[in-house]
Amino acid sequence: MVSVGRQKNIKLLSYSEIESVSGFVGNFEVRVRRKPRYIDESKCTGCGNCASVCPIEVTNAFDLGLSTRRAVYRHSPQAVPGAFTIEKRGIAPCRNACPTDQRAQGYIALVRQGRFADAYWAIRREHPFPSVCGRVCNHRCEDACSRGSYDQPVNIMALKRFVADWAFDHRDQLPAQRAKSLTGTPFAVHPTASGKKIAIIGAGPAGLTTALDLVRLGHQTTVFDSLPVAGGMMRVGIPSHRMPLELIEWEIQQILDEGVQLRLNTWVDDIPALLDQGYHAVLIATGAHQAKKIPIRNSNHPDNWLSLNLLRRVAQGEAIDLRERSVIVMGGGNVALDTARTVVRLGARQVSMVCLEPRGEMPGFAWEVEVAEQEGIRVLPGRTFKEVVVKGSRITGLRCAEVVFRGFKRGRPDISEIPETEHVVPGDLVIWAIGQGPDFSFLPGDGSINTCYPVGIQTNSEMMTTTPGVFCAGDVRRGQTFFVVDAIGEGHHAARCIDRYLRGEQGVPEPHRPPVVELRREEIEHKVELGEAARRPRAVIHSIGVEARRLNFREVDLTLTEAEAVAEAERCLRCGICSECLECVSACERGAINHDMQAEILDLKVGTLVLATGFRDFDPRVAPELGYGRLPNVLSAMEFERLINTGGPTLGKVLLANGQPPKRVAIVHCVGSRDDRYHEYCSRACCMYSLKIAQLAHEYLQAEVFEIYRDMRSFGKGYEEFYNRTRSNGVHFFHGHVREVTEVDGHLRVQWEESFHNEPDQVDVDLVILATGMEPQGDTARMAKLFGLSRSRDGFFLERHPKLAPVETSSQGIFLAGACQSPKDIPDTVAQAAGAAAGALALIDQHTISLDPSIAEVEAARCLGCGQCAAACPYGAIELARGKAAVNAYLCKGCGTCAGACPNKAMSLIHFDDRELIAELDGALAWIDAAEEVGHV
Amino acid sequence: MYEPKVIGFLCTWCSYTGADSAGTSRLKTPWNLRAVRVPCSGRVAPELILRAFDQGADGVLVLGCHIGECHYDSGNHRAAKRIPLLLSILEFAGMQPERLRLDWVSASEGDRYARIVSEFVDALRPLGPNTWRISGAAPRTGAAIGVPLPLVSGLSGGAPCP
Repeated sequence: MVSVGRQKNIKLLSYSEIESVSGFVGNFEVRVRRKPRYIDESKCTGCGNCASVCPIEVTNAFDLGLSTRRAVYRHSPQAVPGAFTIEKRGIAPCRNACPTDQRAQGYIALVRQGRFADAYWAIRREHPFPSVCGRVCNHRCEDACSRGSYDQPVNIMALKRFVADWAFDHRDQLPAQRAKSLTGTPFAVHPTASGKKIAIIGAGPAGLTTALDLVRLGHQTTVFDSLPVAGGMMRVGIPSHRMPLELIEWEIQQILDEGVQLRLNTWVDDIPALLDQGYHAVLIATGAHQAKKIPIRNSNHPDNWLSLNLLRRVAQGEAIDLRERSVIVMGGGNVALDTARTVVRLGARQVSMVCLEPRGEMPGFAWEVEVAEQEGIRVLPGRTFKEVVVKGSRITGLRCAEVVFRGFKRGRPDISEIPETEHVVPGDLVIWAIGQGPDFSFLPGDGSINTCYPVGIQTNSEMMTTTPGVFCAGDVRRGQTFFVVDAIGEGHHAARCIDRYLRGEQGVPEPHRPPVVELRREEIEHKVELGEAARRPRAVIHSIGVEARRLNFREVDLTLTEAEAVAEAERCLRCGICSECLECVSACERGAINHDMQAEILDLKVGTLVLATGFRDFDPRVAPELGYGRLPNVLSAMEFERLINTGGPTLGKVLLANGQPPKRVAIVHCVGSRDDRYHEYCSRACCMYSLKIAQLAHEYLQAEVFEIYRDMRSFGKGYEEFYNRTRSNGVHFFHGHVREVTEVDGHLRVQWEESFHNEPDQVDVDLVILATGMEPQGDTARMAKLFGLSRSRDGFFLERHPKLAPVETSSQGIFLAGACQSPKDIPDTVAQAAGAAAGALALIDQHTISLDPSIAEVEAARCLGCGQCAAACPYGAIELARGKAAVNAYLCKGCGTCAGACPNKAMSLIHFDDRELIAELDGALAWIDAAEEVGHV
Repeated sequence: MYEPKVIGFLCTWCSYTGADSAGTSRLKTPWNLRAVRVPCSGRVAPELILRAFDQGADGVLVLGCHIGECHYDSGNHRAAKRIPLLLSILEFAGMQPERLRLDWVSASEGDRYARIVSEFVDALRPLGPNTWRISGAAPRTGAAIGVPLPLVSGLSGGAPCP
């Protein structure tokens, strides 16, 4: 292999597949798909640093599952080329579902290994606010999680929160790996300072994300916010019982530490002036901070509060006393739930939540509705609001009516009132939480920044508003409230758009998205069975007791412990195999790793083809009587070969399941071969490799070896001598057909039939090695179709003639070498390969090709152009040109199927045309008649 | 007992070689079959079979490679569609269905070849001579060898279309 790899006239296309083959001898066109290795072959030195940091362990197919390897691996120690490969099926559904493109699989894999700091920096690669999204996300990743179709999705949000909390708790000793968290992102390759200034209006998740990305891309950013605190809705909209302030403040501080400038308490209402002041671009990311009301009676009474205002005041530290108040919260979304639970903590005597949607369709999280009820909130769904009831100067309640709710039509609720259900929900303070929208009062009055239906700011696909250089992202663009992840996702996109705007062509392109992995249920079950994913239920989040929540804003839900987090991470199915944690990228000193590599299509023009696709080892599980996979200490020959190999998974040690070396070893011949139930043919190589194994077991393991053989086929040069030597070394040979292998008193009993030497017909051993035969590769049928080859009855490729043309195929110019044609041993394979090479070279060297004379021809005068011949031709050698069939003489192989199909006898086969065949059969019949006449019959 | 005259269309790659291998294995095969070698069972046009019956054959046996083993990838698939269709038409037209058979013999199956031919001939013997003709004419006897014969162009027996 090494000399093949070094030969400059041989181009080795490893990790590639043939997509299509067309043309004919001398003019083949082969389309090759080079699968992405994700590692640059020319840069990789094979040092293995990547594998040492890779968190993904998978079973090693080269060691037949006897060992594990990493997702980044080298096929085998002697592999040519020696470059590593990342095994990646695509991107995981969790990453695909996340607007921020968060590689959840990556940090989960790192958590599984207890590498929490690495996990934190892996998260921060795409996500600057993990502590927020670890708490308040609607986690579309979990909805998409493959594990959800098996039992329950991985608790991804809890894992993210765990990592964020762990990092906060260890912030003093957290390894400074910011640089590492940039590797594999656009920021790592774009460090040059641009000298451009960008103003960002709004310090919420969208604004801060954009600001951070732009700073990392070499621009200067200043973030303006009218509030005295940064963080936007994350800071003033999420109450502390769900989102502790110190965490969000720490995350914002990290953004500021990277060079983002922040100007608080600044209300920007002249955007053109910002552009005049030297800012090259402006981003509007002001969010949706205006709570809505509907104009029902008395909705202007001073005791009608707005949810967002209340949450904002509380978040800014104002002490509001609602003791002795009875509160009605209007709305059923997450803001309404936050408001209601905040009001409970402010001491309200009674809290009711009234909303339009019926229970189960409320837009708030279902689990939080339950928690709200546990906390004493009366949830009253399925009601419309008629009026705020005022008696004297005080509100006394809210008049409601029950409704049938049929969803929303064009933004308006589709409801019908149920008659005679009007009632008054008592309360003296009404808080509106029925939705919020953006505030556009700061936009220029001349309409140069256009707004659009329903309530957002109009942008093009590059996030730019109707004023050049002014961009928009987040809730203010969409006009309604979405989740923090959506804002972060828009922030990233806006940063790329602004960068492209400022740099022109040189800006950061939109990332390429590989195909999403979809696991079948059997695959999931297989992964769980192999132990690649733990078989345990989803982690449960514990909460503090309801009593402990009174009159304080202690965080309700507890974070996972380290052990719980690792256990939960073990449930991950690792759909993509490579988890894209990108640890390898920073570990590689040569910069050889590129996770965005794409498959490459090569179109090759070649004159001849040689197929050497080899064989597949017979799976001895198919023969259950031999105990493989069921009894311990029953190995296939290949497994034994790996184990006894000093470079193998055990460094050459062969031990039994109990850790003891084997003392008695049986080798069972003809497993899967020469057996009507499996394969009728003899696999040829097994007798001799069994002798080799016998010698190894005898010499290196000092074991007593029993060979149970059907017939000893030592057919090659020196083979009989090898057999005799093995025999004289003291290996025992028994003739027989093994019936079954059973476990008796802790030993394996091998029993056989047909012994003809009056020898024992069973032997007790402690290790059984099955000499498995060869069978065609699993995709031989597909390959045969691709190359236009035939297969013999055993499934292997069919040679043109078993004796006279054993390396050629019926398709001229395509040659066979090795076990893809029939089972054979190494000397035979080498001989056949040399023959195939010689045949291929001889054809090339001739510069001309001679064709078989017997090919189809068309009698144009009779041809009607019906095309039946073209449909019948197995080789696509017939084309219809100008209403007549035309035969491509290079492609025609002379089968005559076209002549058989032609309804008008226009198509005939040279040397087998109708006249010749009819003359032959008439002659044959006449001969019989003549025989009758002379009285032979 | 009547000895039927049988024409066998044998594909050159599998069944013709199979017949060879029956011979080299010295297996007894009825002499009644006269082999016509064709490159592939797909070459056997229905007209050739009709011609054989018209010229006095008592049975026609078409042998090809096993399905999936065709030397020409899928020529035998054509035969597998064509011959049963022809058989159903012939049966409709009054011919005994035992007189036409399609089967598969691989190059190494000399024993199978011998068995199929024996079975076929054994089944034909009790039927006696084949009186079925396309033209409805009486069985022809004693044709000379080498006399040019008009081609049968189809079931109609008429002149070929231009």
